[in-house]
Amino acid sequence: MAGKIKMIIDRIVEVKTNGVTSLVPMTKAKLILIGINPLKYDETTADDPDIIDKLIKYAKESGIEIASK
Amino acid sequence: MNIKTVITHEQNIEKAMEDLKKQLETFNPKLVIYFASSIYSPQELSDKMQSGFTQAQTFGCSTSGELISGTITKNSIVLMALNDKIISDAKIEVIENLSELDQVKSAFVSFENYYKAKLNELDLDKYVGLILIDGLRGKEERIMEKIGALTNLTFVGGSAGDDLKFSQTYVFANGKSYTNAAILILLKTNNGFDILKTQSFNPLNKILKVTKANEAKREVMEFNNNPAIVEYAIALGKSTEEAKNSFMHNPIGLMIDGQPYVRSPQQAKDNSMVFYCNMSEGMELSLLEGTDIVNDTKKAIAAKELELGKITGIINFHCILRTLGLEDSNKSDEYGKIFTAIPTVGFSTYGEQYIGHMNQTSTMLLFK
Repeated sequence: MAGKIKMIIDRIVEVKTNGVTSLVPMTKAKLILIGINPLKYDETTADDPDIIDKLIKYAKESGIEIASK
Repeated sequence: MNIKTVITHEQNIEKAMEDLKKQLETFNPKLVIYFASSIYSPQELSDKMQSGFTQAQTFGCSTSGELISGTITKNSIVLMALNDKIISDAKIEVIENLSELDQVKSAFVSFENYYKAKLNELDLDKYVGLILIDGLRGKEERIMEKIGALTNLTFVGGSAGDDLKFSQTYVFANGKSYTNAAILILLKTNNGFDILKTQSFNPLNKILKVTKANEAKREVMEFNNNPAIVEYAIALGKSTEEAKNSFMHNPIGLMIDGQPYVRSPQQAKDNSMVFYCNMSEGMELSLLEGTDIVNDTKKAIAAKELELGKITGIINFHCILRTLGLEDSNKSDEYGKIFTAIPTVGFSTYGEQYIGHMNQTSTMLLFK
């Protein structure tokens, strides 16, 4: 399977910024600082369970629900 | 004047307090921020500071050197007093055990209760957070990650020092001192604020990808699938022995929007490298080359003055490695003078915080 990492990143950025575009760079910077560079992932990127777990944990700490599928 | 900065070198705390209060004259602070050398007893200092300014909230930390408008110094207490024209309100929270991340969440619940608003409803241009954290526990990354997950509010700060003894660092709040702790302060400013993050490095065209690391120990075993120190030396074009002497001038940086978030090597351990910041496997970092701290900082401050019109005050979280670099090049006085015209306090930190945790950087809170 592929594309789940990008899907979760997009969801985190969407919810955390809530449409405020000026918050996007800082939100992405926070992800880069925990080791996940949003630019490295697209719809074809294979689903890496370690990265997905890390993102889900970050989303949970941010109060963001991620759909299981 | 709505911000005053004062300094004392009196080593007796009673006399030091007298000296500081005398210099403040009739100034009526709402908030008192102080940074003190580790020569002072932490509990006595914190207690006397609060009883000396009963009308204000007081907080600070121990240092590895202090900074005040015009001067970099040591073995002193520097203090910034801000009145209600600058600070509309402030709420201080203490994380008393850095291993208990739930305390960070509790602090933010307390901020919401105090300001009677959800965090995401607070004006991001008026509210700003400060963090002062024990500099010897290696917990900065996780605390900053948690803060970043919980809020979009800006938090900036530094890791407490102890004059390079690497024994015990302290944070102070409202009359108490703490170790293995962090102070979070959420300020409501009247005129807004800005952040300046400045470091003096250029990226070289050499990428080191972390392929094996122990994040908790801030240790990198492998870059590019080779032993870390070997790969670092190859990138530098030096022998491994020569490379070990290049850590200060050639740290590595996580590049974000063209700016390095510096990770400074602390030591080589066999073929591994231990850093002052952690790194995750998969991270790609640029080898950096040092530039002139004084010139770069002058330019950065001038650019901010031009952008903002006026800077009313600065709190400068200034990496100890920058302080040592300035001492080595005999430029400490020149650096201090950059801040002569702006009320400034700061200290030499064991790490700097802004968005995350970093090294060899100055993170500054600028009051408009």
